[in-house]
Amino acid sequence: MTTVGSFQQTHWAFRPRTIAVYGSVLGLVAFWSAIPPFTARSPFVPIVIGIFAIAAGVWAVSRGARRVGWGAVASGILGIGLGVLATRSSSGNLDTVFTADLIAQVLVFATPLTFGALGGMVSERAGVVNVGLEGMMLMGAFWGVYGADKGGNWFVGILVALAAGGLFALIHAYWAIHLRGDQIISGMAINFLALGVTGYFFEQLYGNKNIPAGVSTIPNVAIPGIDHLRFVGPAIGDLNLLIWVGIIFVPLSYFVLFKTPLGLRVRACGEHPRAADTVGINVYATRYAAVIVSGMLAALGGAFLSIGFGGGSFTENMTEGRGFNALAAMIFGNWRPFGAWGAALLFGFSTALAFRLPVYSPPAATLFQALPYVLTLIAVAGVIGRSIPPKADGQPYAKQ
Amino acid sequence: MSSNAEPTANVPPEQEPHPDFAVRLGAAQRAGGLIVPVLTAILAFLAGGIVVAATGHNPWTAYRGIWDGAGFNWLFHIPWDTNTIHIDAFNLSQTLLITTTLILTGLAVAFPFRCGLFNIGGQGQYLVGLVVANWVGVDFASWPTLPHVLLGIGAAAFAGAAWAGIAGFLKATTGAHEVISTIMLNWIAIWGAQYLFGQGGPLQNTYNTAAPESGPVAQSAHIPTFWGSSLLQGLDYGFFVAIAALVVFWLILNRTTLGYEVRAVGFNPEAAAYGGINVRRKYIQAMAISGAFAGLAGALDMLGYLFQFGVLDVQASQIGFFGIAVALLGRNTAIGTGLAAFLFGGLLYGTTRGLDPNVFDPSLAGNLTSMIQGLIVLFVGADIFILYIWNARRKVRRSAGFVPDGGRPVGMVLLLSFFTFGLYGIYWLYRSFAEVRAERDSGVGGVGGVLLSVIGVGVFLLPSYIGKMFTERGRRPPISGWTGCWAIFPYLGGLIWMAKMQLALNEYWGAVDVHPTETPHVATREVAT
Repeated sequence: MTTVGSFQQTHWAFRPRTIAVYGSVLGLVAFWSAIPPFTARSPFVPIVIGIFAIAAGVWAVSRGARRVGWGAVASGILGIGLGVLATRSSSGNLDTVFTADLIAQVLVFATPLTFGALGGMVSERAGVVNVGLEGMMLMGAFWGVYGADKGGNWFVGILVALAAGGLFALIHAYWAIHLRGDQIISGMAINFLALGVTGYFFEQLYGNKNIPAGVSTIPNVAIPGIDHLRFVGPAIGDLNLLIWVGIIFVPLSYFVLFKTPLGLRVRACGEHPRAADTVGINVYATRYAAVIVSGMLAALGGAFLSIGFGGGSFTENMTEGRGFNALAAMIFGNWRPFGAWGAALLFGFSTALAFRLPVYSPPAATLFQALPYVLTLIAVAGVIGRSIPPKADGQPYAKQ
Repeated sequence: MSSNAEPTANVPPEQEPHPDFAVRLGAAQRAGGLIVPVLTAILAFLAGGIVVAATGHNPWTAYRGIWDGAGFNWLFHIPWDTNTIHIDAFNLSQTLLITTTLILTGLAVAFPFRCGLFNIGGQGQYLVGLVVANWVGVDFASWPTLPHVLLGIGAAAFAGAAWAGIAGFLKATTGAHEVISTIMLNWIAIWGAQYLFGQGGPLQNTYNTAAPESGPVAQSAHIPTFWGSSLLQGLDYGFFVAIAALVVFWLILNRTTLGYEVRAVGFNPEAAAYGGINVRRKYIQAMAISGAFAGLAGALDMLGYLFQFGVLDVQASQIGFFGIAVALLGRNTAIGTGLAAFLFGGLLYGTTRGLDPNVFDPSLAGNLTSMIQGLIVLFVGADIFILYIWNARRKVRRSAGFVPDGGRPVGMVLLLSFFTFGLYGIYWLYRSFAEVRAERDSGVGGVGGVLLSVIGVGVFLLPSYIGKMFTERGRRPPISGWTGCWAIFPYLGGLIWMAKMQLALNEYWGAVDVHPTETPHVATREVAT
């Protein structure tokens, strides 16, 4: 633990934690230097940058920032490893895998995870474990496309998705808060129920036909001046509106949760509900609100799958575990907005690689899909700093 | 990121986020008996039926079709049913095939539950077992049948145990919550299996590299069938392995030191540790045993009737997740898990391949199964608390004069019941059941009592409960379960029955000085909070 004194004396940009973050970024740069558009062909480039990353990490660990420090060390090692591997592959292969729209694709895959992880974070910060993210996301996916189809407008679709996700979150909240049932059980029940409800109504309302073509979908945002730039244009020039919304929600949720009285109340309910109750916070109301917001965020992620990136389609069990992936991202990000977002990007990157690597290695590609879960398992096991949930996470609160 | 927002970030977390759940489950188990799970299932089926009716289908024909599809009518082969016996028998054999798997995946959830652990990783452990059984079945083709099958089963059970043991080990050593780690292990197994069976994967078949599926299990590793043809996916001897697993589960829990310790840890880990039990080791052992059950399920499926598995099958497989509903509905007991597995086995087969598409669309019915599964899990999650609420309400109601001073107005009840064609009586029926539940801390409760009375069970249940209340206080009971026979006679008999109930309750409340906290039997049944 860092001593309190150093907090007051050092500028934030030079604290061990921040240095470790620089190190983590350097690790990424080490890998990045070896892939397009830079494509360094000498293995020494990633090695040298990676060593800097590891050094930063080690320094941070020695100054007490253990979790982030070890993260930087791991990032440096990974950066060197992957970077050297990349310098060994032919640049033709690299060009097919690492193109500018890989970044766009990472953002596409990361967006449902971002929404889900932020949703899970809000709920768990208030003290309610939400393993029902998958189900709430699935509800958002189906009812979103249904609303867009019948309402004729993607915005209606989003509203319907929010309502559907919120409704299932309400069930979960009622069970978790009022009935004080086991939150894991009701969360899993939400998942099964959502799978059944969306599948049943998909079959009932659309039969053997698919969602009709031409459903209103969430538009892309072409940023004038950027969308025609080389490299940057294909990467971020023309992204779906919800991707930007997701990105904006990250600092927004950080601000609300950690910099406003409202956020303090939410976190108090997750850390010590009795104390929160004593100072006049309505624990039940706060938890209800948090869980419902959580369901709505997850549903937004689902809506992105069906009427955003999905282009107005739905298949049974469309989320395919993305809700659990989001849960993993939240845990890996240590119940923090930027951490969760970083994890979502990392997991999105590994999914994007899984979709691209089959070009020359199908088996390895599939394994990249498992990477997020392996990393999260390592994170909860505490090998590289322990993931620590809010203290009262998962504990029902009984008023006295 | 700000560094001052969470000063407690490096403090070790609380070891037990849900310390009281297993305790509450245990209490509910004693209190509810068989009635509560049955009611849970009935409620879930009712709710599913409402959805079916609301979407313009006839729920009765739908459920009838599912019943037939599951082959249950073969069991009750009623004379006027002229269906060909063969298709029913075949359907039932298929139901039992799925039941085999569900028993084992259910036990995989039930066993650690008794140790206070929630194993969500049944699906992953099942897949690991499946993969290992496939590997043994394909690669050791030169072995003779019996050792080959045994090797496959043993290796799969061991692999499942090791896979689940990871979660137990992490829980024991680092305190990582088993729910999180088993969820992660699930998905690692799901993607891992897709890698192994997929294109270019080590376990992909050798004759058609375009197909992402495993090789076929050698004939020597096929478990022989005993009902139906082995060519038509008959029921294999694995069914008896599953039944034996139920017995083993019961024996381990109730007749061994390990089982005693596991239950002690599940009841209260701190007390168990104080009593000299190595809690961490129990966590690892419970998870490993659970994983062995799930791995066994995978082996029996692979060597019993699947023989081959593909990437798409891995993605579609849900059977391990159904184990959660099976175990919860079965109250984590051996018999309960067996019965719940049979129910879900019938439901799963009866809503898919067994269902006649002309009766009810299987693509709808398959989703109905997921819905019912979700509802059952949801209701089980709630009925644990129902007891809780009753306990809390009992005190409140007593103090709020739940029982009227000077007894209830029996004459008025009868009169109003007569004039409202029994409707007012239903309210009193509800109150009577609720009172009995509040007093005894067991029973079906108000709503359950009314529902059970509709199917005729309740009219015998209530007098038997009231009779027991008297016996527990050391008094001669004025009524017993037999009093319910009055209700067989239409209308007048019902009124006499009602009068007897209300008079007996009046006598009880008049005779007993009502102070629930002082009664010994209530105190011992008190649910820990």
